[in-house]
Amino acid sequence: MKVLVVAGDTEPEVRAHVDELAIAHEVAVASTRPFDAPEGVRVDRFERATDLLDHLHRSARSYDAVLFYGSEHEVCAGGVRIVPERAALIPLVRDPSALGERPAQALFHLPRAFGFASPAEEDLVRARFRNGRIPGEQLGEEGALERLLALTAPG
Amino acid sequence: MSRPKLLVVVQRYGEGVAGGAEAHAREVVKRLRPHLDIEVLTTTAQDYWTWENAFTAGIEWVDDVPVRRFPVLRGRAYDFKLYERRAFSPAHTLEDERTFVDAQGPYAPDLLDHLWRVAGDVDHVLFFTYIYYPTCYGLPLVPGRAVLVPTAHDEPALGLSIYEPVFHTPRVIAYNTEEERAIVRRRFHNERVPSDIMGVGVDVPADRSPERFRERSGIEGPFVLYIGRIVESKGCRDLFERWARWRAAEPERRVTLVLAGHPEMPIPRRDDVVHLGVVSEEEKFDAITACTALVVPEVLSSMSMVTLEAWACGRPVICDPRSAVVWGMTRRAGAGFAQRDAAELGEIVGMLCDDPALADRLGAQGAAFVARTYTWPRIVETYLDMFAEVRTRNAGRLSSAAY
Repeated sequence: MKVLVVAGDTEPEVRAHVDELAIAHEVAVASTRPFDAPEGVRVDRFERATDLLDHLHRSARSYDAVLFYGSEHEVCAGGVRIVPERAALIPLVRDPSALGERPAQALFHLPRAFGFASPAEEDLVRARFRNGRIPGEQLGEEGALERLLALTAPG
Repeated sequence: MSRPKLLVVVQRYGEGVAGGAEAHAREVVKRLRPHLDIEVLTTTAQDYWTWENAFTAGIEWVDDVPVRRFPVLRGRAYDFKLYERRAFSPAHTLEDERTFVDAQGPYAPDLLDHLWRVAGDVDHVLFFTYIYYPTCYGLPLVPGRAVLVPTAHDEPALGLSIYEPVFHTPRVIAYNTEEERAIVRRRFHNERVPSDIMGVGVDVPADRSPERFRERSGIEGPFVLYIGRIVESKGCRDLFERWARWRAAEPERRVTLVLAGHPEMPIPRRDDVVHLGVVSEEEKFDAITACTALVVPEVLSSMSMVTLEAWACGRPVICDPRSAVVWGMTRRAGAGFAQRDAAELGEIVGMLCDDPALADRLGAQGAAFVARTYTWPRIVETYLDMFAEVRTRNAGRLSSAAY
């Protein structure tokens, strides 16, 4: 499967996911920040968020799944809007008050699937947005990333 | 017990506002008013091209419903066509798309600010027409409460990324036809968004008189009827060319093409083409009842109200097979034919003129199709079910923000 990781958030857990995905899939990373990717993973670094979003606009549909990390980052809020039909959002919520901001409203109704960092995070998002029609995975569980990809890639 | 609250968002609204989607919105509001507390959010524009501020900003009552109007801060850009061309080019950027939506208008940011402030106090927000600024930027602010009536058809704008949230985030989408739903799903793959085929109800006056039409117009013999703006975008150029070519090949047949509507292009000066001008509702239904068939040459539409009206009056239609919507409905209804060129137009018109019983039979099938689907009681009930579903989904929702 061709997988694009849009790393708004570049915390170590994102790198760990890229490592795991790269074992079985063709993975590329797009970010506005430095990203230390494993060998064989292409990293496209963009100076500005708008450049990254235009890159998604041009090429995201050539991937089977696009994983967006960090709902509070502009590249995720803008990027999921471009390819919702093959997007998974891993929100990594740091500031719950940001869920009340304008950009978050559509974002949490758009992706094909969610990857949650914890049950508490899922409870927060579900209660806030009543978006139960969008499936989610708990990423701490065995095999969750593969299940997330299966939920995300269009039929 | 207080009634559920509904906001309706539409680009134009009220007296003197011509346009399919806007008239559709007003009819729906009138029918839902006994069941819900409704407020309409719209602009001060009356004209869909200039968006010039024609109404006064603030609250006005229309059909006993409060209508809150917001000023259009920028009319449609004079060089809009340039931005449209850029946005529709294969190599366009996201910025090109945003510029297109802003330049198309009606640019009314105050409407969005108001929506953001008050949406948390209402149960549902009904958006009409996907393409314009108020829906494009308003719906993503309130997706959990949003019901969309897209009025979409197969057009270049539908391919723009900026409309992805509009079609992926509403709680429910109310399509006008099965064909419209198929077009949208093919483009957006948004099957998981619940939807229904809604449409509008068709009201046909009982007092319809073909004799009154003949007497008033002086038209004798069989005729096919066109109703609507007489403009190239509605397929009129193709219609006139095909009519002329067929008539040149079969000049002896006695049949007239009757046009009713505002002319925005030259009308052929011929003995067998009659332009009635803009007609009243009574004249329109008299003409429909008197015609052999209604001709619908438009290719791009999400629904054709006049097609439904012709069927409700028991008359068949002659449409263009490139129209996914009208031809799709016609096939499902078994209530007309499609013509691709002058020869086919002539063949169909000749057949219906020579065999009035066939035309009546097709028209009756159209009437049955309309009675099955496009009736107000069914539509109102379906809307109320949709809104109840939205309320259920949002019950107990955390609501620390305004939405």
